[in-house]
Amino acid sequence: MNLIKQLNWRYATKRMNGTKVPQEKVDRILEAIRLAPTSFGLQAFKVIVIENEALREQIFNGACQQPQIKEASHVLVFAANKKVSQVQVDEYMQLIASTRSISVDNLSGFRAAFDGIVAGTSEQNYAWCARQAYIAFGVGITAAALEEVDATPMEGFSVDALDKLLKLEEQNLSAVTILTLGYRDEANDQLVNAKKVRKNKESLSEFK
Amino acid sequence: MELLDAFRWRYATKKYDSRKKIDQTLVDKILEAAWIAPTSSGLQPFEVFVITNQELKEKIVSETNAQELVAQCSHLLVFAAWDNYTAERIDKIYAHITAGREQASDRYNAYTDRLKNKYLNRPTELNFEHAARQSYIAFSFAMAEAASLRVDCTPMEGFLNEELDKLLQLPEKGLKSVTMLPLGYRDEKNDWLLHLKKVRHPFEDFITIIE
Repeated sequence: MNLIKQLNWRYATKRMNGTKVPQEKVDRILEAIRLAPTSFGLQAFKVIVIENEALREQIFNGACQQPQIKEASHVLVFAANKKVSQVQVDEYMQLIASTRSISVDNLSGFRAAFDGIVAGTSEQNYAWCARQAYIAFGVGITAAALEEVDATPMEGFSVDALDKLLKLEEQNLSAVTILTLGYRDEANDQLVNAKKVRKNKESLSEFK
Repeated sequence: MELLDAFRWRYATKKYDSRKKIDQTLVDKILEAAWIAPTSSGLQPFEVFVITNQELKEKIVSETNAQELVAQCSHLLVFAAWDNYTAERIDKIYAHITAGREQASDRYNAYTDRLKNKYLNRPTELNFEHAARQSYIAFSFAMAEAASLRVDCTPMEGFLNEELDKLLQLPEKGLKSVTMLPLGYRDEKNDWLLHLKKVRHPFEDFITIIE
């Protein structure tokens, strides 16, 4: 596996050609996203995978007027929890206990580590959950590149409109990012041959 | 996909074998993955500090609720984001982009004007949070590359950011620490987490499919 090579291959695809991504590739990308590490392992976000064309049309018209929304094969929405609740923490303790075949009582110390988070405001909780969603988002971009599936990471959309369309509010969620998956439209994508530009390496890292 | 094997192999290492140092070529690849990571408008609004100095690593332990792994690891990466967006920072990046693509220097002026109009008219905290989120993408890429090279790492938040910032003189650079990523090799005999099963939410609870 040459991750660096694939990360150089990828780019923020601006036009896609509508070709469907094989299901097994989508499944592997989603599995990588699921395995992404998060703070305390809580995974306080969800990924919504949209193929439905009518819904994509609605998203395009109401929340994000970028052609990839309609031209992509799959649209992934990363949505973070707006509030972390004690119920959610306790369900997570049950999940750990059942996965590791231990008693939930053994996790009382770990459970207490969430007290400060549960006591936090929803602004604090959402900011923290959104940061975790970015880790999974990064993993999604990486996994797509390894599968040679084009992907477009997006932030510039109307969060309120997307939350309404996907009924996220009712699920204690709010959209953070979109990742469209599909295949580049080489004839119409101006960015396809643009040189990838990053800061000089020496200005990114400092050695101590 | 080999990345899945790499992710199943990795875990948040709790104890490092401090005798084992990572080859510089591998560290360079991990940094390259962080460097190549996409960011909003290509601004790369963060820097990565690579700390091998033992004395400094030991000082940092006290900013992490005494997590000794920070001193035991081979290389400690600190991801620090811009404390704010400024016109100078945006212009500097776009001057570099147009030079890199051999384009006219005003090629993206309409775009950067829109960016400045948006970022320079909103609270500093919001801009820092946005920059911090971008650093998480690079943080994620660094973890993926470390796992693919079978280098262990420990993603960390929850440390005393302001104290660490002072120690690394980040305020003078207009930066604030966001995350840490100790890198090294696991202490197989003594790491309590190594043999515990990885816990993740089941696929159907975590992913909603709308066909």
